[in-house]
This record gives sequence, C-alpha cells and structure tokens, in this order.
Amino acid sequence: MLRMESVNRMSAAGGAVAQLNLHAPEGSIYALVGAADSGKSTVLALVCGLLTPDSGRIVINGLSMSLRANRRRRHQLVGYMPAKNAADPNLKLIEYLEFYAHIYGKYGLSARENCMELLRMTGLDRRSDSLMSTLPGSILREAEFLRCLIHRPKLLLADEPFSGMDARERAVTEEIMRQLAAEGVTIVLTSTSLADSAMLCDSLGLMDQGKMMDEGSREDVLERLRADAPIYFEVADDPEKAVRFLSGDEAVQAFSWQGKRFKLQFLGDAAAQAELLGKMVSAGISVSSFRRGDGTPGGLFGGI
Amino acid sequence: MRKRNPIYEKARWTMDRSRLFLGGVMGFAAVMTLFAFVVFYDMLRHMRVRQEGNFAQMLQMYIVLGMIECLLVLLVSPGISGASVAGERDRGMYDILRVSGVGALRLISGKITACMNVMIVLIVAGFPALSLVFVYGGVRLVDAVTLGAVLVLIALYLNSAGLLCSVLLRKTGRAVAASYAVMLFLTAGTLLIHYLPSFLFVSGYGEAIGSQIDWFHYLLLLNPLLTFYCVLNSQAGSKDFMFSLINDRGNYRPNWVTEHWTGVSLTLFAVLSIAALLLTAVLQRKFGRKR
Repeated sequence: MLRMESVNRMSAAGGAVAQLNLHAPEGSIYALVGAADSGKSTVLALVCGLLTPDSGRIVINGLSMSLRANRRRRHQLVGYMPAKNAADPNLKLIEYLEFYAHIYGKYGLSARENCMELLRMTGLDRRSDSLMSTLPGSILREAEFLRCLIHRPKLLLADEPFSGMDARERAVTEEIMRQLAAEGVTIVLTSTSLADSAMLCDSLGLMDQGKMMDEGSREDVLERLRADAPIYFEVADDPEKAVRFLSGDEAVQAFSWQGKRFKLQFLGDAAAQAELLGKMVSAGISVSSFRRGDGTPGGLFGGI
Repeated sequence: MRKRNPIYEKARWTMDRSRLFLGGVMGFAAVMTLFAFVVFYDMLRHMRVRQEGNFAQMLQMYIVLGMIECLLVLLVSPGISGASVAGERDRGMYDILRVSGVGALRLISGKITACMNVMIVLIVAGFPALSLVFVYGGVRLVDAVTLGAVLVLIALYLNSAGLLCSVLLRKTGRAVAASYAVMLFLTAGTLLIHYLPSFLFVSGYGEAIGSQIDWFHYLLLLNPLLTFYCVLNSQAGSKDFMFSLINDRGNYRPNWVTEHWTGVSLTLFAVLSIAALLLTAVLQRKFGRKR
C-alpha cells in the first residue's frame, strides 16, 4: 500500500509537486496519468527515496518514511523501474539480473535460479546469454521490468513502463503486473496516455503541473471525466428550434453548431444527460443522433 | 559462496569482454616493449661499434622503462576513475543502485577495487619489458617488486583523487577533465610552484647558506612522478636526488624530511588516498541525492 499525504517538493530545476495526496491500495495497479513534466516522475522519485519531500508524509506498507529506521527498509520494499533503460551493454542478460540479485544479497545457485525463473516468465530464458548490446530496445525494457522483481518488492514503481515496448512484450508485462497485483503487490505506473493505462489499472490519478487534479477508482475518475466531456448531437430538421431550446436551458454551459450538427458543454451525469434528451424530444426537436464524448483528460490538461 | 562486492564483480565482468580494455593492455605492453627494444638495440649497437660493453646503460634502460610505465599509469588512471561513478550516473544506473540500497562505502569500495584491478593488470603487463634488464643483471628481483608496489600505490593515489572528482562532478566529461587537472597539478603544478619563486625573484632568492627549506618546496612530496623517480634512482645508487633538486633553487640545510623523502612521500600518498576515499564516501552520501 502507498499513501502520500500533502507532499510538497519544490525545486528550482523543475519537477515540483504541491500538496500531493495519493492513495494506492494494497494489490492494486495505480496509473498516474499526465502530460510530460506534470510531475509524475517526481512523485516516483519521492516514493523511492531519490528525492526528499520538503513537507508531507509518505507511507509505504504502513511504514512512515519520515522515520530513519523505516527509510532503511525502503529498498527491500520498493522496486523502481526508471523511464530510461540503464543496462550496461557489456553485460549478458543473465549477468545483468544476477548483478542486482547480488546487490540484494542473493548469491550463487539460488540467485541464478531466481533470475532464470524471471526470464522464463517472459520467455527470455533462451536469450539469457545474449549481451545487452545485442538485444532490441523492447527486450531491454522488459529486462528492466524483470530486474525490479528480483527482490520481490511489495511496491513496484514503474515510470513509463510500456514506452518502447512492442505489443508482445507489452502484453506479457501487463499479464505479469496483473499476477503480481493478485499476489498483493501494489503497482504504481506512470503514463502520458490515459487510453494506454486505463484498461490495466484499478485506480487512476490525473496530474497536471505538479498537482493531483483527480484521483480514485478507475470507474469513478472516468465517470467524472465523462461528466466534463461535450455532448454531440444532430437534428433532422430546422436547427433554429434546437438553438432556441439550448439558449434557454440553464444546464447547458455553451454550445456551437455547424449546419445540423451541435456540440454542447453540459455539466451533468448520465441521468441529467437522459433528461436533457427527453426535454429536447418533448420540445419537438427531431434528434437523429445523440452521444457524449469519450471523456479524455484534455479539459484538465490545459483544455487541449 | 564467497560474497564479493557486486559493484566490483560487475566491473570485472564487463572488463573481461571490453575491447577498450583489451586494446589498452595491448597498447600499454606494446609501448613498453617498443621502448625496451629501442634502448636495447641502441645499447647493442654501441657495443658493436665501440667493442666494449657499457653495462651501466642497462640501469638507464631500467630507469627509462620504469618512468615510461609510471607515465602511462599517470595517463590512464584519471580516465578510468574519473568516469567510474559519473559514468554510472550518465547511464542512469546510479539512481537504480541507490534505490537498491547500495551504500556509499559499498559503492566506493567496489569502484576503487575495480579501478585498481585495471591498473594492476596494466602494471603487470608492462613488467615483461622491464624484465629485459635482468639479462645483464644490476637490478635485483626485490627491486622490481618494490617498483611494482610503488606503482600500485601511485595508481591508488591518482584513482582515489579521480573517484573524488567523479562524485563531485556529475557529468562524465567534466569529471574526467577534473581528474586530469588534478594529475597535472600534482606532477607539473608542484614542479612549477617549486621553480616559480626563483623565476619571480631572480636575485637574492634562497641564496642564504644553510637556510630553512621554504614550505612550498614540500609540495613536491605530493608529486608522484618525482617520488617514483627517487625510488628508481635510489635503486640505481643515487639516493639524494630530491635534495639536490631542491637545492637547485637555493642553498638549504638538509633535514629529516629530505633525508627520508621517498618514505615520507609514499606514506603521504597512502594517507591521502585513504582520506580521499573516505571523503568520497561522505560526499557521495551527501551529493548523491538529486538536487
């Protein structure tokens, strides 16, 4: 489990976060979504200890990282996958994993078996003796992911884990993430694309300019996003009637039209949306199509 | 299962298959051999022409080859150690190591062991050429072993300074440049400081007979090249090289330091190396965090 409470981190070099609250329940996959430089990587760096917060509290698996004794245990609890691959090109794939196994205090045959087991999970065991410099970027990314699992962390932090991954590697990695979550591992991943992570995660956090704009279960956040999305409809007859109706409706914030096609900003849930449609039909407007937008976080990220 | 430092272990794995390293060893041995052959050939030609053997030239060859080996150590060390920690940072591996709980002492001890591993291989690679001296004798085996040990100490001295630069400066290029600057200061810089006052104050400087040695002359104790030359000279029979060098610019009274110059200098190298490594570990802990 990961909890961040009112965490602040100001930096002259950028990468600041302000009053950040985050809650990733145990065994969940939490996707932190935001545009580039929105502070996602800073959040991961704060959690894994690369950065120290100016104020606020970070709790990992019930242990507050404000206490020095707990901070010493952090490296056993956390697995960190940075956005950039950091493999040494002169190492073999198995050596790369074994190197980290040694760092975590595993040596000899048990370390070798542990690494081979990880490689078998992804079908990379056949390439265990390949030099890292000869492997494609997609496999290097996968190896980077496997490297985080060597010490069986309770919290996995993955910064843009799927960037540079091919479809096959991505599918395998997603499957392993689901398995890990089922075993109780909490996974926090970052992404610049909501569509990229929405299918995988259980919880969502939307970040912009170092602030958490919205957070919660995937369904709740997506529902709230949909509530902000515009409604598109088309009329079969005279659009003037629809224009007069929309001008008089208080729930409609703004609208525009081109020919018989309308786009309107409407704040309301699915019930209010159905009510609006009913009122339009009652007013004699012949609606030929009516749908709500997909609910992208564009409105949050600078109204793009 | 013996638990080795993983940082050193990784460096050893990559070193084994690094073409740069293999090329470096080959080049190092080649340069040494080439010089040995040139000196040896010149000596034999001299013997043929004059119909007499100048065996004292063998000792000169030993000094020349020893100095070349020392120069190569001076040139290689900053490049290796300067890039060690900064290189990990540039590759992005440094953050992962820190998150993995690799402590400052473990990182620094692994890095210095890896650097010294490379340097010892290079020093040993130069020894076959140096051993040509034994064809005519004049140098004992214990002298060659002493020479090797002094070279290892000099390598440790320079590598610990390079490692300090590597932790202080975040970019590999800057760290390597700073390591070479330190090496240049220790070799050419200290000599310049030694000679500068006599150039600036042409008359009257250091002329008083039996005066105390000025403090800045003691900076030469930090000069690895001079100390190594002293070791070579003392093996070849000239033990007061340093005092005559200092007196070159004055008329000083000998003291305990000048009488034990090589020993004091080598002890200073060892103490400074340990101090630099401890300081590196402390600074690594302090500056290791992202700012």
